[in-house]
Amino acid sequence: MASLATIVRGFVGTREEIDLMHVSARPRTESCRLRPVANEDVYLFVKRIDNSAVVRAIDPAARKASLRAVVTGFAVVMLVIAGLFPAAYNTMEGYQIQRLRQDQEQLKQNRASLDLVEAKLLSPENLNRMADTLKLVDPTPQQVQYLDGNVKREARNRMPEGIMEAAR
Amino acid sequence: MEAPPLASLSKSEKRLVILGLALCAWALVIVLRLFELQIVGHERFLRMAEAQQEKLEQVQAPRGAIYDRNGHYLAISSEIPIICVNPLRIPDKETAAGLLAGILNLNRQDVLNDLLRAAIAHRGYLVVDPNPSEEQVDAVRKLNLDWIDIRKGSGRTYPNGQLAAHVVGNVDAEGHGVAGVERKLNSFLSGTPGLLRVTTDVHRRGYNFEVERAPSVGKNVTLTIDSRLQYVAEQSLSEAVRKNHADRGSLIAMDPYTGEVLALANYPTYDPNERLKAGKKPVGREDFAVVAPFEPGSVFKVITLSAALETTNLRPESVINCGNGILRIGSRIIHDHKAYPALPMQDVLAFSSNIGAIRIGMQVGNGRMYDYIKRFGFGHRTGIELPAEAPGLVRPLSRWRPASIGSVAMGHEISVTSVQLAQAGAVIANGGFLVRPHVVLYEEAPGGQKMKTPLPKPVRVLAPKAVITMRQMMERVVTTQGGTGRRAHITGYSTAGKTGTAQIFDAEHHIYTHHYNASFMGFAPVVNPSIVVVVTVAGTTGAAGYGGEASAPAFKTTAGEALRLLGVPRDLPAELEEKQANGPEKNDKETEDDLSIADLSDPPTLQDMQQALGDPSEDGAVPVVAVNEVSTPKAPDFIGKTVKDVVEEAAEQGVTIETKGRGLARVQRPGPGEPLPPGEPVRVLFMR
Repeated sequence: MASLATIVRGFVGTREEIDLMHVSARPRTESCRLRPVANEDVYLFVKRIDNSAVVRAIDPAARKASLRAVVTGFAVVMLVIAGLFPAAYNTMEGYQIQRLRQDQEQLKQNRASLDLVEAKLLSPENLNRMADTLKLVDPTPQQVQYLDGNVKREARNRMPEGIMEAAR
Repeated sequence: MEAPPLASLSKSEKRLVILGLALCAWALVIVLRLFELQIVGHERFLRMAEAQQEKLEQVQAPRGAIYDRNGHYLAISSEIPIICVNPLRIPDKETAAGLLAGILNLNRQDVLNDLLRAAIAHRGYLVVDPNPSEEQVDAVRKLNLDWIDIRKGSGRTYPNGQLAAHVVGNVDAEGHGVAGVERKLNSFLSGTPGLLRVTTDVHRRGYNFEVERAPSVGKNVTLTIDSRLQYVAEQSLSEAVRKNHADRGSLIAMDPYTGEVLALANYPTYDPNERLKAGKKPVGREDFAVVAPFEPGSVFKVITLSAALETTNLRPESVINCGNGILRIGSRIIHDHKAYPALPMQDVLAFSSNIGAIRIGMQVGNGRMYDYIKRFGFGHRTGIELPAEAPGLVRPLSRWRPASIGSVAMGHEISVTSVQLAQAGAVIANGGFLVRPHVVLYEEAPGGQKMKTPLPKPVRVLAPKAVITMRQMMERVVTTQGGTGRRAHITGYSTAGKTGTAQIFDAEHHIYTHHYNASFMGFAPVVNPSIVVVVTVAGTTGAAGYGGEASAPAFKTTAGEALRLLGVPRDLPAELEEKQANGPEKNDKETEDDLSIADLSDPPTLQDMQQALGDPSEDGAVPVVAVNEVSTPKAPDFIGKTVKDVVEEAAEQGVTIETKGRGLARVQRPGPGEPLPPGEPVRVLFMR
């Protein structure tokens, strides 16, 4: 408790401290001490209060209030997260989609390049060159045997497409 | 007197009020600033934010691919490296031109001129090579020069090189079709790039996008062309033209029932991957099979005889008076290549007797002949999907002279294209129907849906009986001893056809030359034809330049390959093949003559030739046909020379002379340097 006495003591110190401060090489005699001031014990009364045994009583209302505050705060945070999460998720997925889109374009280009390489390899000129290298020859008509079901054109009378409609 | 408002307040209260007013003023400034930023400057800052946070990205829409009928690529769009330079940063343009020309295999002077032109125009970007090879790109990259940039662009590549160049066509530097199917179906093949608005973060990485304009992908086209047959056709045509030292040639192979063109070749040809440089002539880029009409000659006798079978009482065995090779029409005398006294009609075709054909034509008559010519599709475009198709020339009846029936019966006074001949040949092959030749099998929409172009319904031109008879007669052209088409016989298959050898008309000198259009039109097998092939070699000379010699071998090779690819079984028994293999063909030494005589013809005028080429087609394409480069022999200069000198010089130059008088040559007709018509002698008058 802040009282004038304690404030003064804080500045000046206790009597013992003062005494010690004023200890000089020459011992002091009691004769130097001031005579007691009237009602000194009243004005300079110091009551020492020992609060070490004091224990704070549990306040149920305050506990409820703090719990409520915590829960409220948590709910607010969750709401904020819930509100911001879709946008953040969209953004992250957007990065992914953009990357995938670029990958898709690149794959399309790669595929076109590979198709081009394949087409060049399969060109008749290239195949003919390879056939010459491998010393392959064209079969003579006598060497070509047509198996059943392998004939694309049958020996029958054929009519141009659309002729039935033209005849009507 | 009223006390001041703050007079009643204490000092502290006054200070508080002043402080409050100051704070309000500060707040007001802040509010005003906010108003200025968010209301007044809203649009400006919004634009700045968008510019900072958004970027427009182009979505590529590549041009549609072109396939052959078996799904092989004929044209494909792909990402290609483009080598470009900044002419403004090149320190030494001559050195740079030499360096680039060396690596990219370009003409050094052309590169230097381009660099100088771009620098003068203050252009900071110049494409040096729009389609370099991988090795060239690596070599350029290794130079590591700051004025060279290798960018990615979309380019059109034709992986088969020259194969089917005239059918597929090519694109220009901007990717627009300029020839062939690329031009004809340009709007269908072209794609439209799309636009994406992409939102980016501070590192310019996109995380959100919005489609500003959806891309329109180019649609794919599948052609009727068979790459394998096309290759064989081009090889055989090239061999035929080179072997005969001819100027050019064309070949068409077609399915007679559907009109699908399985091969269309021209010689000379070109590589569509090579761009035509400004100022250079388009050598080899003309599609002669479609844009260049010519007088067909004896091939046209098929039409004459078809008309005769249906409109007269003539039959294959009907005897035609060939007058021992001489026919007088009016004041003109026509000589046939052989003095036949008389021939059955089937042999008129087999031996290609001109007088026989004239007599048959006369029996048919002008009106009916004209009618059948039109029925067979001559005189107007077939509608094939290639640009600048020529309609050819069929003079209206009112312009036919009395002798025209004779000329037309032999295939003169009329001009046709190779594709029209193929269409006419298909009439005989498919049982008498006129079908439309086409090169597009189907077009493919983005969803994969295939769309076939609707074709006109076939129209009956000949009765079945006439067709069967014509087939038999045309088979005799190939099989009969003395037939003009014996070299067209395909081993293992019955073959039918007709040869043609027509003199080429020199428009500059208005005379018929001794250069020929040698043609062969045929089909196989005879009973159930699977393929029609027309070969024309232009600019042949001599007996070796006749249709049966120059064109028939190319027909044999191409049609034989077509039958093998189509899986058509052989229809000739093995013992007959052996007999034919050892038969007269081996012993043939004499080349059968089928030259149709142009003597009767009323030569085409300039207007006729323009009409034959036709107006620009609906896509604006005009036929680009090379100027007739046939050079007419000129009469040598004999003036002032002795008889001995004149005779020696004439013998050296192969010129026939008729001399009169003695002494020195004073007068000659034709004069020195004047055109010397073929077969005409130079008459020289000598005087002392």
